[in-house]
Amino acid sequence: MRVVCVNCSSREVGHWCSHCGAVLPTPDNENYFSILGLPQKINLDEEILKERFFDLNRAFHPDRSSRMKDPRMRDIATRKSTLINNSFNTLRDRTRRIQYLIRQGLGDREEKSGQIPLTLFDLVERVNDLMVELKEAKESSKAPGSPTNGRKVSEAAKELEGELQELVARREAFESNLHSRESEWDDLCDHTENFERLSADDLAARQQILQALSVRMDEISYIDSLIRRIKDTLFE
Amino acid sequence: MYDPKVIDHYNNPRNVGSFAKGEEGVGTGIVGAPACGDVMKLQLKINNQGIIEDAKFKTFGCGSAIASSSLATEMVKGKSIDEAYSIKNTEIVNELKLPPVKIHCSVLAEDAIKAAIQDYRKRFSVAVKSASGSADTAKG
Repeated sequence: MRVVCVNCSSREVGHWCSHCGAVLPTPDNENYFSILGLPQKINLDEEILKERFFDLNRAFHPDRSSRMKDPRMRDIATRKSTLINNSFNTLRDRTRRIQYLIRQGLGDREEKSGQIPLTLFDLVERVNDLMVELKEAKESSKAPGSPTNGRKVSEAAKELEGELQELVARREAFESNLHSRESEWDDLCDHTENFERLSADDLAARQQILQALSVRMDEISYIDSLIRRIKDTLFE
Repeated sequence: MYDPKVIDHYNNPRNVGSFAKGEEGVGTGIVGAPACGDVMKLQLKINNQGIIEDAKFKTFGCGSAIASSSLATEMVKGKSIDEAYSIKNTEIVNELKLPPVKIHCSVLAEDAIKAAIQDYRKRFSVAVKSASGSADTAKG
Protein backbone atom coordinates (compact mmCIF):
# COMPACT_ATOMS: atom_id res chain seq x y z
CA MET A 1 0.00 0.00 0.00
CA ARG A 2 1.24 3.45 -0.92
CA VAL A 3 1.64 6.11 1.73
CA VAL A 4 2.23 9.85 1.47
CA CYS A 5 5.67 11.03 2.55
CA VAL A 6 5.23 13.65 5.29
CA ASN A 7 8.33 15.47 4.08
CA CYS A 8 7.87 15.77 0.28
CA SER A 9 4.28 14.53 -0.20
CA SER A 10 5.15 11.97 -2.86
CA ARG A 11 3.23 8.69 -2.78
CA GLU A 12 5.61 5.92 -1.89
CA VAL A 13 5.94 2.27 -0.86
CA GLY A 14 8.27 0.86 1.80
CA HIS A 15 10.05 2.33 4.80
CA TRP A 16 11.91 5.21 3.16
CA CYS A 17 10.91 7.82 0.61
CA SER A 18 12.76 7.27 -2.65
CA HIS A 19 12.68 11.02 -3.37
CA CYS A 20 13.85 12.63 -0.14
CA GLY A 21 15.01 9.71 1.98
CA ALA A 22 12.59 10.53 4.82
CA VAL A 23 11.05 7.79 6.97
CA LEU A 24 7.64 6.89 5.54
CA PRO A 25 4.61 6.54 7.80
CA THR A 26 3.44 2.99 8.39
CA PRO A 27 0.30 2.16 6.39
CA ASP A 28 -2.80 1.37 8.47
CA ASN A 29 -3.11 -2.16 7.17
CA GLU A 30 0.52 -3.07 7.89
CA ASN A 31 0.74 -6.35 9.78
CA TYR A 32 3.53 -8.28 11.50
CA PHE A 33 4.47 -10.03 8.26
CA SER A 34 4.25 -7.10 5.88
CA ILE A 35 6.31 -4.75 8.04
CA LEU A 36 9.18 -7.22 7.80
CA GLY A 37 8.51 -7.74 4.08
CA LEU A 38 7.64 -11.42 4.60
CA PRO A 39 4.95 -13.63 3.05
CA GLN A 40 2.15 -14.55 5.49
CA LYS A 41 3.30 -18.13 5.71
CA ILE A 42 3.49 -20.49 8.64
CA ASN A 43 6.69 -22.16 7.44
CA LEU A 44 8.77 -19.01 7.41
CA ASP A 45 12.45 -18.95 6.66
CA GLU A 46 13.57 -18.09 10.18
CA GLU A 47 17.00 -16.93 9.04
CA ILE A 48 15.42 -14.35 6.76
CA LEU A 49 13.05 -13.34 9.57
CA LYS A 50 16.04 -12.69 11.84
CA GLU A 51 17.93 -10.80 9.14
CA ARG A 52 15.00 -8.53 8.35
CA PHE A 53 14.40 -7.88 12.01
CA PHE A 54 18.02 -7.01 12.78
CA ASP A 55 18.26 -4.67 9.77
CA LEU A 56 15.03 -2.82 10.52
CA ASN A 57 15.59 -2.81 14.26
CA ARG A 58 18.93 -1.12 13.72
CA ALA A 59 17.47 1.39 11.26
CA PHE A 60 14.61 2.51 13.49
CA HIS A 61 16.17 1.94 16.89
CA PRO A 62 15.52 4.82 19.30
CA ASP A 63 19.30 5.31 19.67
CA ARG A 64 19.32 6.33 16.05
CA SER A 65 15.86 7.93 15.65
CA SER A 66 16.36 10.16 18.71
CA ARG A 67 18.97 12.00 16.64
CA MET A 68 16.48 12.75 13.84
CA LYS A 69 15.81 16.48 13.61
CA ASP A 70 12.21 16.39 12.40
CA PRO A 71 9.92 15.45 15.35
CA ARG A 72 7.43 13.91 12.90
CA MET A 73 10.13 11.51 11.66
CA ARG A 74 11.14 10.70 15.23
CA ASP A 75 7.55 9.86 16.02
CA ILE A 76 7.10 7.67 12.92
CA ALA A 77 10.39 5.87 13.62
CA THR A 78 9.52 5.22 17.26
CA ARG A 79 6.19 3.70 16.33
CA LYS A 80 7.77 1.62 13.59
CA SER A 81 10.37 0.37 16.02
CA THR A 82 7.68 -0.82 18.44
CA LEU A 83 5.78 -2.59 15.67
CA ILE A 84 8.98 -4.22 14.40
CA ASN A 85 9.79 -5.53 17.88
CA ASN A 86 6.28 -6.86 18.42
CA SER A 87 6.34 -8.48 15.00
CA PHE A 88 9.59 -10.28 15.66
CA ASN A 89 8.55 -11.43 19.13
CA THR A 90 5.36 -12.91 17.75
CA LEU A 91 6.62 -14.39 14.49
CA ARG A 92 9.77 -16.00 15.89
CA ASP A 93 7.58 -18.48 17.79
CA ARG A 94 5.71 -20.91 15.57
CA THR A 95 2.68 -21.30 17.83
CA ARG A 96 2.35 -17.57 18.34
CA ARG A 97 2.76 -17.06 14.60
CA ILE A 98 -0.21 -19.36 13.87
CA GLN A 99 -2.26 -17.79 16.64
CA TYR A 100 -1.54 -14.39 15.13
CA LEU A 101 -2.75 -15.52 11.70
CA ILE A 102 -5.90 -16.94 13.26
CA ARG A 103 -6.53 -13.68 15.14
CA GLN A 104 -5.97 -11.66 11.99
CA GLY A 105 -8.30 -13.81 9.92
CA LEU A 106 -11.03 -14.71 12.38
CA GLY A 107 -11.00 -11.82 14.82
CA ASP A 108 -9.77 -11.45 18.37
CA ARG A 109 -10.19 -14.71 20.18
CA GLU A 110 -8.16 -14.15 23.28
CA GLU A 111 -9.51 -15.60 26.54
CA LYS A 112 -11.70 -17.61 24.25
CA SER A 113 -13.86 -20.37 25.61
CA GLY A 114 -16.57 -22.39 24.01
CA GLN A 115 -18.38 -25.65 23.64
CA ILE A 116 -16.34 -28.82 23.61
CA PRO A 117 -17.30 -32.38 22.68
CA LEU A 118 -18.44 -34.75 25.40
CA THR A 119 -15.57 -37.12 24.52
CA LEU A 120 -13.05 -34.47 25.56
CA PHE A 121 -14.84 -33.85 28.84
CA ASP A 122 -14.94 -37.59 29.52
CA LEU A 123 -11.22 -37.85 28.82
CA VAL A 124 -10.41 -35.04 31.27
CA GLU A 125 -12.68 -36.65 33.86
CA ARG A 126 -11.02 -40.06 33.47
CA VAL A 127 -7.52 -38.61 33.77
CA ASN A 128 -8.60 -36.57 36.74
CA ASP A 129 -10.04 -39.63 38.51
CA LEU A 130 -6.77 -41.49 37.95
CA MET A 131 -4.77 -38.59 39.36
CA VAL A 132 -6.98 -38.43 42.45
CA GLU A 133 -6.60 -42.19 42.87
CA LEU A 134 -2.82 -41.94 42.73
CA LYS A 135 -2.73 -39.04 45.16
CA GLU A 136 -4.94 -40.91 47.61
CA ALA A 137 -2.84 -44.05 47.31
CA LYS A 138 0.29 -41.99 47.99
CA GLU A 139 -1.33 -40.38 51.02
CA SER A 140 -2.37 -43.69 52.54
CA SER A 141 1.01 -45.28 51.83
CA LYS A 142 2.59 -42.65 54.08
CA ALA A 143 0.50 -43.92 56.98
CA PRO A 144 2.04 -46.89 58.77
CA GLY A 145 0.20 -50.15 58.36
CA SER A 146 -0.93 -52.17 55.40
CA PRO A 147 1.92 -53.33 53.15
CA THR A 148 -0.50 -53.43 50.17
CA ASN A 149 -0.50 -49.65 49.98
CA GLY A 150 2.80 -49.57 48.16
CA ARG A 151 1.37 -51.85 45.52
CA LYS A 152 -1.69 -49.59 45.17
CA VAL A 153 0.56 -46.64 44.45
CA SER A 154 2.48 -48.47 41.75
CA GLU A 155 -0.74 -49.78 40.18
CA ALA A 156 -2.32 -46.32 40.08
CA ALA A 157 0.91 -44.84 38.71
CA LYS A 158 1.08 -47.51 36.03
CA GLU A 159 -2.45 -46.77 34.90
CA LEU A 160 -1.74 -43.07 34.73
CA GLU A 161 1.45 -43.71 32.78
CA GLY A 162 -0.57 -45.73 30.27
CA GLU A 163 -2.93 -42.81 29.86
CA LEU A 164 0.03 -40.48 29.43
CA GLN A 165 1.45 -42.61 26.62
CA GLU A 166 -1.92 -42.62 24.86
CA LEU A 167 -2.15 -38.87 25.14
CA VAL A 168 1.34 -38.41 23.74
CA ALA A 169 0.41 -40.62 20.77
CA ARG A 170 -2.80 -38.67 20.28
CA ARG A 171 -0.91 -35.41 20.39
CA GLU A 172 1.40 -36.63 17.64
CA ALA A 173 -1.58 -37.51 15.45
CA PHE A 174 -3.07 -34.05 16.01
CA GLU A 175 0.28 -32.46 15.34
CA SER A 176 0.67 -34.20 11.99
CA ASN A 177 -2.85 -33.19 11.05
CA LEU A 178 -1.96 -29.63 12.05
CA HIS A 179 1.10 -29.74 9.82
CA SER A 180 -0.92 -30.75 6.78
CA ARG A 181 -3.29 -27.83 7.44
CA GLU A 182 -0.27 -25.56 7.74
CA SER A 183 0.94 -26.69 4.31
CA GLU A 184 -2.51 -25.99 2.88
CA TRP A 185 -2.28 -22.46 4.25
CA ASP A 186 1.19 -21.92 2.84
CA ASP A 187 0.13 -23.25 -0.59
CA LEU A 188 -2.74 -20.81 -0.55
CA CYS A 189 -0.28 -17.99 0.23
CA ASP A 190 1.90 -19.03 -2.70
CA HIS A 191 -1.10 -18.90 -5.02
CA THR A 192 -2.48 -15.60 -3.83
CA GLU A 193 -1.24 -12.83 -6.05
CA ASN A 194 -2.84 -9.81 -4.51
CA PHE A 195 -3.27 -9.88 -0.75
CA GLU A 196 -4.91 -6.49 -0.68
CA ARG A 197 -7.74 -7.59 -2.96
CA LEU A 198 -8.76 -11.11 -2.03
CA SER A 199 -11.66 -12.62 -3.94
CA ALA A 200 -14.64 -13.94 -1.97
CA ASP A 201 -13.52 -17.48 -2.78
CA ASP A 202 -9.99 -16.82 -1.58
CA LEU A 203 -11.32 -15.29 1.59
CA ALA A 204 -13.64 -18.22 2.27
CA ALA A 205 -10.84 -20.73 1.64
CA ARG A 206 -8.51 -18.83 3.96
CA GLN A 207 -11.10 -18.67 6.73
CA GLN A 208 -11.86 -22.35 6.39
CA ILE A 209 -8.22 -23.31 6.86
CA LEU A 210 -7.79 -20.91 9.77
CA GLN A 211 -10.87 -22.37 11.40
CA ALA A 212 -9.45 -25.89 11.04
CA LEU A 213 -6.07 -24.71 12.35
CA SER A 214 -7.76 -23.13 15.32
CA VAL A 215 -9.68 -26.31 16.18
CA ARG A 216 -6.47 -28.38 15.96
CA MET A 217 -4.52 -25.88 18.07
CA ASP A 218 -7.24 -25.96 20.75
CA GLU A 219 -7.22 -29.76 20.82
CA ILE A 220 -3.47 -29.73 21.27
CA SER A 221 -3.77 -27.15 24.06
CA TYR A 222 -6.19 -29.35 25.99
CA ILE A 223 -3.97 -32.40 25.52
CA ASP A 224 -0.88 -30.42 26.56
CA SER A 225 -2.44 -29.25 29.78
CA LEU A 226 -3.52 -32.82 30.58
CA ILE A 227 -0.02 -34.11 29.83
CA ARG A 228 1.48 -31.41 32.04
CA ARG A 229 -0.85 -32.23 34.92
CA ILE A 230 -0.24 -35.97 34.66
CA LYS A 231 3.52 -35.40 34.71
CA ASP A 232 3.19 -33.13 37.74
CA THR A 233 1.20 -35.83 39.52
CA LEU A 234 3.51 -38.69 38.55
CA PHE A 235 6.79 -36.96 39.26
CA GLU A 236 5.94 -34.59 42.10
CA MET B 1 -5.29 -13.72 47.27
CA TYR B 2 -8.71 -15.35 46.90
CA ASP B 3 -11.91 -13.92 48.29
CA PRO B 4 -13.40 -16.02 51.14
CA LYS B 5 -16.44 -16.71 48.90
CA VAL B 6 -14.20 -18.40 46.30
CA ILE B 7 -12.58 -20.51 49.01
CA ASP B 8 -15.99 -21.42 50.40
CA HIS B 9 -17.31 -22.55 47.01
CA TYR B 10 -14.05 -24.38 46.35
CA ASN B 11 -14.11 -26.27 49.65
CA ASN B 12 -17.87 -26.83 49.70
CA PRO B 13 -18.95 -26.81 46.07
CA ARG B 14 -22.75 -26.75 45.71
CA ASN B 15 -24.61 -29.10 43.39
CA VAL B 16 -21.69 -31.23 42.24
CA GLY B 17 -22.60 -34.18 40.05
CA SER B 18 -24.73 -35.18 37.10
CA PHE B 19 -28.36 -36.03 36.49
CA ALA B 20 -29.18 -39.61 35.57
CA LYS B 21 -28.81 -40.33 31.87
CA GLY B 22 -32.10 -39.84 30.04
CA GLU B 23 -33.67 -37.83 32.87
CA GLU B 24 -36.57 -35.66 31.64
CA GLY B 25 -36.17 -31.92 31.05
CA VAL B 26 -32.38 -31.83 31.40
CA GLY B 27 -30.18 -29.59 29.25
CA THR B 28 -26.42 -30.13 29.30
CA GLY B 29 -23.73 -27.60 28.50
CA ILE B 30 -20.12 -28.71 28.08
CA VAL B 31 -17.56 -25.96 27.65
CA GLY B 32 -13.84 -25.46 27.99
CA ALA B 33 -11.07 -22.91 27.76
CA PRO B 34 -8.17 -24.23 25.67
CA ALA B 35 -5.67 -21.72 27.04
CA CYS B 36 -5.85 -23.08 30.61
CA GLY B 37 -7.30 -26.52 29.87
CA ASP B 38 -10.28 -26.05 32.21
CA VAL B 39 -13.43 -27.94 31.32
CA MET B 40 -16.92 -27.57 32.76
CA LYS B 41 -20.16 -29.51 32.50
CA LEU B 42 -23.33 -27.80 33.69
CA GLN B 43 -26.76 -29.39 33.66
CA LEU B 44 -30.13 -27.73 34.20
CA LYS B 45 -33.33 -29.53 35.08
CA ILE B 46 -36.20 -27.51 33.70
CA ASN B 47 -39.90 -28.06 34.44
CA ASN B 48 -42.65 -27.64 31.86
CA GLN B 49 -43.26 -24.06 32.98
CA GLY B 50 -39.74 -23.28 31.84
CA ILE B 51 -38.41 -22.80 35.37
CA ILE B 52 -35.03 -24.21 36.38
CA GLU B 53 -35.77 -26.57 39.26
CA ASP B 54 -32.32 -27.97 39.82
CA ALA B 55 -28.78 -27.64 38.52
CA LYS B 56 -25.63 -29.73 38.70
CA PHE B 57 -22.06 -29.24 37.62
CA LYS B 58 -18.72 -30.92 37.28
CA THR B 59 -15.65 -28.79 36.69
CA PHE B 60 -12.03 -29.77 36.24
CA GLY B 61 -9.92 -26.69 36.59
CA CYS B 62 -8.66 -24.04 38.96
CA GLY B 63 -10.37 -22.88 42.14
CA SER B 64 -11.97 -19.89 40.44
CA ALA B 65 -13.47 -22.06 37.70
CA ILE B 66 -14.93 -24.41 40.31
CA ALA B 67 -16.26 -21.51 42.39
CA SER B 68 -17.72 -19.79 39.30
CA SER B 69 -19.63 -22.88 38.21
CA SER B 70 -20.73 -23.70 41.74
CA LEU B 71 -22.10 -20.17 42.10
CA ALA B 72 -23.71 -20.39 38.66
CA THR B 73 -25.76 -23.44 39.69
CA GLU B 74 -27.02 -21.53 42.72
CA MET B 75 -27.86 -18.44 40.68
CA VAL B 76 -29.93 -20.24 38.05
CA LYS B 77 -32.16 -22.21 40.42
CA GLY B 78 -35.72 -20.86 40.45
CA LYS B 79 -35.09 -18.67 37.42
CA SER B 80 -36.88 -18.97 34.10
CA ILE B 81 -34.72 -20.11 31.19
CA ASP B 82 -34.89 -16.61 29.69
CA GLU B 83 -33.72 -15.04 32.94
CA ALA B 84 -30.92 -17.59 33.25
CA TYR B 85 -29.89 -17.01 29.65
CA SER B 86 -29.38 -13.32 30.36
CA ILE B 87 -27.02 -13.90 33.34
CA LYS B 88 -23.78 -12.05 32.68
CA ASN B 89 -20.34 -13.19 33.76
CA THR B 90 -19.87 -9.81 35.49
CA GLU B 91 -22.43 -10.87 38.12
CA ILE B 92 -20.17 -13.81 38.98
CA VAL B 93 -17.06 -11.60 38.93
CA ASN B 94 -18.67 -9.15 41.37
CA GLU B 95 -20.00 -11.82 43.70
CA LEU B 96 -16.70 -13.72 43.90
CA LYS B 97 -14.50 -10.61 43.52
CA LEU B 98 -12.45 -12.40 40.87
CA PRO B 99 -9.16 -10.75 39.90
CA PRO B 100 -8.67 -9.77 36.22
CA VAL B 101 -6.62 -12.90 35.44
CA LYS B 102 -9.54 -15.08 36.55
CA ILE B 103 -12.32 -13.32 34.69
CA HIS B 104 -12.22 -15.96 31.96
CA CYS B 105 -13.43 -18.49 34.55
CA SER B 106 -16.66 -16.52 34.95
CA VAL B 107 -16.98 -16.29 31.16
CA LEU B 108 -16.71 -20.07 31.07
CA ALA B 109 -19.56 -20.39 33.58
CA GLU B 110 -21.74 -17.99 31.55
CA ASP B 111 -20.97 -20.00 28.40
CA ALA B 112 -21.91 -23.20 30.23
CA ILE B 113 -25.33 -21.83 31.26
CA LYS B 114 -26.03 -20.70 27.70
CA ALA B 115 -24.86 -23.99 26.20
CA ALA B 116 -27.09 -25.95 28.61
CA ILE B 117 -30.13 -23.83 27.70
CA GLN B 118 -29.40 -24.18 23.99
CA ASP B 119 -29.14 -27.93 24.43
CA TYR B 120 -32.43 -27.99 26.37
CA ARG B 121 -34.20 -25.91 23.70
CA LYS B 122 -32.89 -28.18 20.97
CA ARG B 123 -34.17 -31.28 22.74
CA PHE B 124 -37.39 -29.69 23.92
CA SER B 125 -38.52 -28.41 20.51
CA VAL B 126 -38.06 -31.93 19.14
CA ALA B 127 -40.04 -33.37 22.06
CA VAL B 128 -42.89 -30.88 21.49
CA LYS B 129 -43.09 -31.76 17.81
CA SER B 130 -43.21 -35.50 18.40
CA ALA B 131 -45.75 -35.05 21.23
CA SER B 132 -48.13 -33.07 19.02
CA GLY B 133 -47.54 -35.55 16.21
CA SER B 134 -48.61 -38.48 18.38
CA ALA B 135 -51.63 -36.48 19.62
CA ASP B 136 -52.74 -36.04 16.01
CA THR B 137 -52.34 -39.72 15.35
CA ALA B 138 -54.43 -40.51 18.43
CA LYS B 139 -57.18 -38.18 17.20
CA GLY B 140 -57.20 -39.69 13.71
